[in-house]
Amino acid sequence: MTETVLHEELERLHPASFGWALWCCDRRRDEAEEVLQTTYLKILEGSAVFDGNSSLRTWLFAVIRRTALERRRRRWLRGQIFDRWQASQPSPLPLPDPEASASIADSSRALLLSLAALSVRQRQLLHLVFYQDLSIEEASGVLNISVGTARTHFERGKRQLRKLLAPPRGNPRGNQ
Amino acid sequence: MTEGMTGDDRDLRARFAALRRQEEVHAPGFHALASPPQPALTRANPGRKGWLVFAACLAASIASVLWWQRPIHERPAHRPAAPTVSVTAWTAPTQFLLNTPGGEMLRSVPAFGAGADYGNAPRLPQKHRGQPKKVLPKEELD
Repeated sequence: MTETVLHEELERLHPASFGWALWCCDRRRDEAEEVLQTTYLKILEGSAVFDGNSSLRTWLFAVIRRTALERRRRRWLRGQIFDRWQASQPSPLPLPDPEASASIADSSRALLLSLAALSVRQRQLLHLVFYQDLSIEEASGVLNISVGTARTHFERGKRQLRKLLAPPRGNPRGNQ
Repeated sequence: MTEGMTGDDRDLRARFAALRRQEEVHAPGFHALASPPQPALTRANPGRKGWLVFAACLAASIASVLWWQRPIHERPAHRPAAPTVSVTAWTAPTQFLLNTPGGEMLRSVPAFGAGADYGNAPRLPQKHRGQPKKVLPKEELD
């Protein structure tokens, strides 16, 4: 794949890539932008090379995920060194960035809040399948897990999400 | 993917699609992130700057440690020798408190015969000393 074609493909996938980066960074917009920029640099400078074993999108999403993990690890280490107290505080629900969620409709906000209650893996699988339109096989490739594990997490996450989005009893119209 | 999808799946997919549409509007431009390497460098600068600051702090701390250790080793050589006072010669500032009246009598032993002034006794004239004895002739002895 020539550099020009690669550039064009990256541009075409950019909105989806940003959505995935946003998800990998607990919906922190600034962090997602930096992760995406680092990913593009890795690809354009040649430190991450597409080998053609999977689709470009699957490979790109895997690189984004890995970059976000590296960044998170670095941040965690920094937190351990300089701010142990804050790092030790658990954050059970990574709520969406208020600035970013200001422009999001209420139904989507309810979806985000429900997703925040799921595990990271379930969240990522649901995002890859429903948001990015990937198959479970492709999603398992992105997350570097087996298809069986991916399917299990996907089904559990879906069940949990339905339960969370279900309208409360006595309100059959739902929360939409 | 849509084959075999339940109604709930369609609902979830529709919700995710709505979220995607809303987010794609606010996505940053591709060229702002990918094209110029300069912004990437400037974005990477805080990290590099942090490392530079860390390295500078480390160097400063090492230099300060070396600086503080140096005089400890060299101090004895550079300092002028302090006047040393013998232990036997040293007297305490409160030594006078031990000097009781009449204490000299206890510390000194009176000399035997010191009361008579033998030093002024008449001595034999020096001329008799060292002179050969007179030997009387034999006839005088008889």
